[in-house]
Order: sequence, then C-alpha cells, then structure tokens
Amino acid sequence: MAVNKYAYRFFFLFFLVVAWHCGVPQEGKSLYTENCVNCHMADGSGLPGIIPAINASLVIKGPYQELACLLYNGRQPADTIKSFVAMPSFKTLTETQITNLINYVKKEWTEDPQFVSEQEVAAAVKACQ
Amino acid sequence: MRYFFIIALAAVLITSGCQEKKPLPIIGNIETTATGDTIYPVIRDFSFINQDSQVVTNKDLLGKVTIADFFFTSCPSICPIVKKQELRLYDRFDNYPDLMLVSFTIDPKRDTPERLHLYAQNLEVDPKRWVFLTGPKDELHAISKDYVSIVLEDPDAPGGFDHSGRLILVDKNAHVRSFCNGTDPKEVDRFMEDVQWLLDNGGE
Repeated sequence: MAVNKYAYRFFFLFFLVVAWHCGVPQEGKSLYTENCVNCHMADGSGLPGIIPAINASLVIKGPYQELACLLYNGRQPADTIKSFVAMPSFKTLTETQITNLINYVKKEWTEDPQFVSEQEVAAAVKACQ
Repeated sequence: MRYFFIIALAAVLITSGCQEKKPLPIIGNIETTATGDTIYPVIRDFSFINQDSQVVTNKDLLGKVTIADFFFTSCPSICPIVKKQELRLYDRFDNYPDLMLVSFTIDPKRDTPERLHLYAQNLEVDPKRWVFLTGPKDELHAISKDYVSIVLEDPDAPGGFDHSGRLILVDKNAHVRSFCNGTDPKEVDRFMEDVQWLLDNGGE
C-alpha cells in the first residue's frame, strides 16, 4: 500500500509537470497565432521597417511588468507620420491568457526564460491601468 | 517480375517529374461575341499616383508582368504578413526587370503619396520594381474587382476595411493569369512557380 501511495504522488507530480510543459505553452502558442502572427510573424521577425521584430526585442527580454502593460494598454506610435501600425490593446484577453502569452514569447525568444504566474501578471496589469 | 515493377515505377516517377507545367489560363469572364470572336477580360484603364507623386497608368504596366495586391499602411490585420510574402517574391525575382510589384492602397485618405513613399523606403524596396499607388477611393475599390479581389469599407473591421489578402499575377497584356492567398506561405510557393512559368514564357 505504501508503494501505491508514493506511486499516486509520483503520478500527480508527473501530471503537473506534463500539464505545465504541454498545456501552458500550447495555449500561449495558440493565443500568439490568433492575436500576434499577422504582424509579428510566426518566427517573431516582424516586417522590417514597419512592424518591430520581437524575436530580438528588449521588451520581450525585459521585465514582465512592461510586457503585461504593453499587451493590456497597447501603444500609439510616438510619431504617427513615421509609424504605420499601432500596437493594439488586448484588454479583451483575460489575465490568465496574458500570462500564457507572456510565458510563450519568453520561452520562444529569451535565452533564460523566467516564467511568471497569473497573480504576478494580475498585479502588473492593475498597476498600469 | 519484381524488378519490372520497380523499373516501371521509376519510369512513371521520372516522366511525371519531367512533365511540363500546364499553361496558365486567363482568369475571369471570357465572352464570345455574335461574330464568334472571343473577348478575354483585361484590367480596366486607370491613372493613379505612385509613392514618388508621379502618375502611373495601366499603359505604363503594359509589357510588364505584374504582381498586384490591395492593402493599407495602417492595416492591423493581414497586410504585414502579405507584405512579408511579397518581399519573398521581390527577392526571388530580382533578376527580372520585366516584373513589377504593384500595391494599391484601399485607404487613400491616410495613404498619401508621402506616406507610401515612407512605407516603401522603410521596406527598402526599389521604386522601379515595386510601386505603391493611391488615388480616388472609389476608383481604387472598383479596380479591385478586375484583380479578382474584394475590398469593403467596414467601420467594424480592423483598421476600417475588409479585404482579401490575395496576390494577383497579371501578364503583359493585362490579363489575370493566377492568384493566391498571400497570407499562406505554401500557396505563395505554388504562386511563385506560376510567376516563373509566365516569365519563362515571355510574359504572355
């Protein structure tokens, strides 16, 4: 019986690990495909001179708070003559979705991704409203 | 017997690989007159302004193979991905001076020649090989039909316009010969072969 108890614990932990590795990036990837690919492209390369590449972006590599605010509020270009497409606001996404999206882009385009929790993103979004 | 099948299969594979690409059809409504003549559809006459504020008419494009699309510079939906695919075409066919890319804006209110100039400059493309055209909105929207494309003004659509992201191949005589969904790299691969065929066949 004791073995079984440990076996259950092992499987529970195993399930959690699998859920984290498969579930979260999967949702992040589909959110990226739905909301970001048309401008930033599947490989994050953007459109040179028009849409910023995010695969080498300092915003992606930088603090998650800044990224959360950018996704939540969007960004109007500073110079509307020289910039073409505004970064839209993704207020319609839930905090869970924003978290998954941030974790996806960080996993894809940072060397040492620091994953964030939904609570951390919720606090960051609240602070930038 | 087994060798026979292997040889036969190899022969089929080799001959199918050597098959010549079928000629591209002329796309659109082909009409026959009472006297029995066939009338092939052509792009209507137009006169628009390019990114260098010069007038460009359909006559300037006669004698050239063109790849056209309808877009607008502030488009937050499919335009950037289509432009990225057009850059692939621009790079692949850089040795063909008879090929031109023509991007018609569907939002002339915002897309002035100055703004189109800046857009082309940011993309780092040669105005001799890729023109961006603007003009009266109604005329730009109307001509999209000749290019088998859809353009609709819709305040609820992202950026205010609904439009197809098609890339359209037009021959030297202003006939549409092929098109593809410009957001799909695999379709663009197939389209590239059509462009190559047309260029290899003198653009007609």
